[in-house]
Amino acid sequence: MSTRKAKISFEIKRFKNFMSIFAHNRRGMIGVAILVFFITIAVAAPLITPYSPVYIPGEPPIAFQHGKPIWYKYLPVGEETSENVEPMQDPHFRTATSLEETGLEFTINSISESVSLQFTSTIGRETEEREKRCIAIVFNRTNDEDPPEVTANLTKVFYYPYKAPPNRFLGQAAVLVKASENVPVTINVVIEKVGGERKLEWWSQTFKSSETTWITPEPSIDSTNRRWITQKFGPDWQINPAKTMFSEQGNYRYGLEITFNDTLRSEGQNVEATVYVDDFYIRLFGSSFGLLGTDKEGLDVFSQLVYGARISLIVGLLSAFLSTVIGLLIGLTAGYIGKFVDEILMRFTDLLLVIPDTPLYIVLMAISTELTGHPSIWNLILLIALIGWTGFARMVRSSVLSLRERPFIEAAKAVGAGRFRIIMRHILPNVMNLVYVTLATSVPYAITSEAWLSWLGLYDPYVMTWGRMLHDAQGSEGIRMWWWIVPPGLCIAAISLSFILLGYALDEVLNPKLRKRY
Amino acid sequence: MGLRTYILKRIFYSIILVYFVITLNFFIFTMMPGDPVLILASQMPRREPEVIQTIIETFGLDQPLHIRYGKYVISMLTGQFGVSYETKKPIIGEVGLRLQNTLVLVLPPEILATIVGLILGVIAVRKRGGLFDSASVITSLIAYSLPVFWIAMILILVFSINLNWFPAGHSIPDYWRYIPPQTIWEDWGTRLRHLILPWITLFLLSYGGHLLLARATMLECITEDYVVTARAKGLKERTVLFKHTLKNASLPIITSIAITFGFTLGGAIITEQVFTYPGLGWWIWDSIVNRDYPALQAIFYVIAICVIIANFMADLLYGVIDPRVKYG
Repeated sequence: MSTRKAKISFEIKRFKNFMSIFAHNRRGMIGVAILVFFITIAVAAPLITPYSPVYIPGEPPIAFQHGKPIWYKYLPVGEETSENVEPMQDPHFRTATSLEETGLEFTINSISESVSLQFTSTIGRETEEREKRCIAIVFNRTNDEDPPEVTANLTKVFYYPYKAPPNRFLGQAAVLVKASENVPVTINVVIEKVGGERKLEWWSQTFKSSETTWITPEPSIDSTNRRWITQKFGPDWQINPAKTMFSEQGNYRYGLEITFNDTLRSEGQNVEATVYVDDFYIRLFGSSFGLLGTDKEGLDVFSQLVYGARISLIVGLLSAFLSTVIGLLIGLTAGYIGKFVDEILMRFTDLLLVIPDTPLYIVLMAISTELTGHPSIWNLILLIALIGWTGFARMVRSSVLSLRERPFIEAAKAVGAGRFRIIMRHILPNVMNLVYVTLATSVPYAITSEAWLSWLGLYDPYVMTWGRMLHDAQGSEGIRMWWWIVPPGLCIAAISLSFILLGYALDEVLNPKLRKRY
Repeated sequence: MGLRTYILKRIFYSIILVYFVITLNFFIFTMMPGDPVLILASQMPRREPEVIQTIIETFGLDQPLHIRYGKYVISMLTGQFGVSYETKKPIIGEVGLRLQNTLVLVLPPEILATIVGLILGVIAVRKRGGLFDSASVITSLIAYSLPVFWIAMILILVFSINLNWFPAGHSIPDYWRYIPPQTIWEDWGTRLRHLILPWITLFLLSYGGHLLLARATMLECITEDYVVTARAKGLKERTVLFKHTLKNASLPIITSIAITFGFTLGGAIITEQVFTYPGLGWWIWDSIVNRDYPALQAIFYVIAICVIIANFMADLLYGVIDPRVKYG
């Protein structure tokens, strides 16, 4: 028991000693600092940025494609840009209980009191499992009133603060109409400048009966909707309604014009019609977004950069670990068992060393792609591990070759220790220093291998990596966007550098011979 | 063991390696996905059984594996790489052309990087721990860690797109197909302009590694007794550094140049991709996309042979330069 205690305290002492030497190694500490920075980013990625780094089918877009960073306009070469504008905070009326809370305006063009606005909680668009809520605009005229033709406006007035126009607007207004022959209801969706002349009537439809389902404007309210543009203006590819509509700063109005066509035909009757409104919003996508702009699919580049740290660390650490284990096993076997086994293993190692790994990776990745259907990050990690062990195996072998001739091995043999025991207890601890250093220095190799394979296009479609970011930038006009291509490269370099520095430091600390050299 | 036995042994090892490479090549490409027969047939206007039969016979795909293997080894050794699935032309001619392009791309920056790395490494060692030393170590570490394709992209962005000094890709302009260059100056000048950016890329890729290695080996030698003796004799520091230290430090450097030759070729493959430069690297990618196995095998083989030759030369040089080498 006491020997064990002594052993443990000895180990602790050794570790403390190691740490104190390491802490005085400046390069090593720089490496550790960079590494800690990236690990923090990788772990805290969801806290740092709310956006997804890859496209998720079905999710609404968050920004326009090829957006510039928001700080771009402050640069000397920068031009005016616009940012996203989202006037409606709660398009599904989940929290609002009164009109003021929604920020909407409701006006009626007559003095009639037959139109009223209510919030209902019994009906609403069934899109998700959320509480059903919507706005109901009720027209209710009793038989003793004169039939008025009333137009009710449910609008949102918002200020557009940017000098540059947005690249796209995207709106929605789902309506459920309960009308009858007596009171046909006409609904228009309009976008207009307050006090200006520009007015865009996107959609207009008259309902003469009660609908059972929610209806959304068709063609959908989207400035990039070529069908709508063609219907309105003819086939002109130059027209961008978002740019012409929001061409200057000012107040704009987006809303529904609901007309209850109550005619004299139904005089003397009680008339009722209701229009339920839900999912009511407009969003403007500016020409700039986020800290680093957006990619060709309108995804946030900054998020991709942040999440890329995760993948790089996973790929780097896992494949470095695996390849070191493989190299260690092969080196130990070849070195200690020797003879025929050694010859075979070393010739195989030579072979792998001779074939340049770049084409080998490309071909093997193509094969594995065919096996899994798409390039997968796990295949990549395995491949790097299976190809990257060669140099280390040679190092282990040569140090085992010198170790096995030492007297302490002979002593162990004389005592009767088995081959396995000698390898595990006497040889392995002596090559562990080599293992630690190689673990650190083979991470950059794995990270850069992943980067260029992804960059070539052999990337996992479900994972965004730094290499893939550069691939995406290369494959489009993105190569002009330096804010998109500079950061990933620097990150790859920084993370590789941190491991190289760490490896150097470990080498210096673990091999006291090297220490005085620097 | 004398020098002759040493060389013979090296030759023997190289031949075995060539044979291994051929074998590995064969098995990798028989594992490759996609049935080449179907790929070829899909390029033909008619997909009838006779057509497929002809293809199988032309490319010898109907024989059993071991016969194909035997034929394969012989044809590789005699340089008969067969006919490209894609262009239907003999591969050997294309290999020569592409190899030449790649060597033009790789060798000048590699040689320059070696020389510059060596000189800077020596200067860095002269004042160890000084400003120049730390600066050169840090810059070469950074250059060493930067992804090669990224350097190339940045160079294209700056010098080709923004400044428009150099073309962004290819080895010759497209319009030469219709209007060939008029003078020899135009011919060579334009080719050179196309090469500048890839050369810079490859130089940046390699010089850091060379510098670090030169520095490390120099540091190892500078503590040797003979250097102390040389200094004690009152020799000039320059003489000590270049004549006594560098000469002895050059041995591992030469080996490493040979070993990193494969690495450099790999870097060239990626560089060729960025600059759409018609060398071996770009061809690899094309062949993978088109599943042109004969071409792929040939490229693989040629690259491996290049590396084996480079290693062999290094071994020879090593044996010739250093009389202390224990041949074996």
